Amino acid sequence: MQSSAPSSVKSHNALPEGFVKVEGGATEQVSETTSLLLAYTAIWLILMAFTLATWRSLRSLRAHAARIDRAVGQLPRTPQ
Amino acid sequence: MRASDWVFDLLLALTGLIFAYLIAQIFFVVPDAQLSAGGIAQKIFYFHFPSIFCGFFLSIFVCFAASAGYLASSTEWTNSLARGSADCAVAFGAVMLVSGMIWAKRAWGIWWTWDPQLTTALLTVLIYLTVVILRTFSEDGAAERRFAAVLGVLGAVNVPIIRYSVQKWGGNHPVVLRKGGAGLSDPAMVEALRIGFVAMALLCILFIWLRTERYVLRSRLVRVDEEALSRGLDES
Repeated sequence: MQSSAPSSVKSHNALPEGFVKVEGGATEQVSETTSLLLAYTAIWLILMAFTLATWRSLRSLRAHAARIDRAVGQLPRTPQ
Repeated sequence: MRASDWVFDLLLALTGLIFAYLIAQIFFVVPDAQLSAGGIAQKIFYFHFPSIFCGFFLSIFVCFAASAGYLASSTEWTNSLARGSADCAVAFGAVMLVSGMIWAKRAWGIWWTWDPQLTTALLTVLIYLTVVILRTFSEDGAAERRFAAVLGVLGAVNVPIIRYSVQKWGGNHPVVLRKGGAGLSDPAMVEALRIGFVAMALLCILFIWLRTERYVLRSRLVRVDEEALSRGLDES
């Protein structure tokens, strides 16, 4: 397994090379695929959780606004 | 339906389409990279990198501008925008850290290393997390708002430090698209990255929009609640 030990981390001041296309696809598919799926699952989970939290909060606030609207509508329209 | 609702729905639909195209591009068009970059796992890059520049940094920039605006003018809208963008900075910061760690485990063999760029990025996320926690658990008074706005401005100072930490202090983090980096060898890789930037920028704008709307609505409701109570209505 390539690059699997902590010692494989490159030394400081060594700028790692960029990304180059390889012919025939990379080997060790299982481990790489697992990493890829894990990362994409985590990314989408975080974004979905954030979306859901925002949506629920907005829904709750809008319901609160509607309750206030109803309450204000029931007030007697007399000058203070 | 208000004009802003139309714009929001349009942006939402556009973002969904671009993300679908991006995912198709990443999985069906973009070639695998070399094993030292993670092989197939390098495809994390097309979400990881845009989430930093068009999610994390964009949110921080908006938070910085809104916080500075609040310190100058103390308007409700700038406060809400600063608060909403700080939330987004934490969310995109989490995406950046988690995706980076999973990729690092494959490419470097470890989840985390105290590399200058990783460390400064983590510290920046923690600064904005502090802003979020401060605003969540404290009173929403003028002093708390100003303190959070100052943190929002100061947190942005870390962005250039993150950006140039690899050049200044070295480390393990790849330098791919900057000066000294080898870049992306295949046009499909470049294309996917560009689409990723657009998709993540649109998503970030939508999130900031929604979070800001949330805080604007919340502060209006607080004011209305107070007025209703002063006019003799109970909380039910």
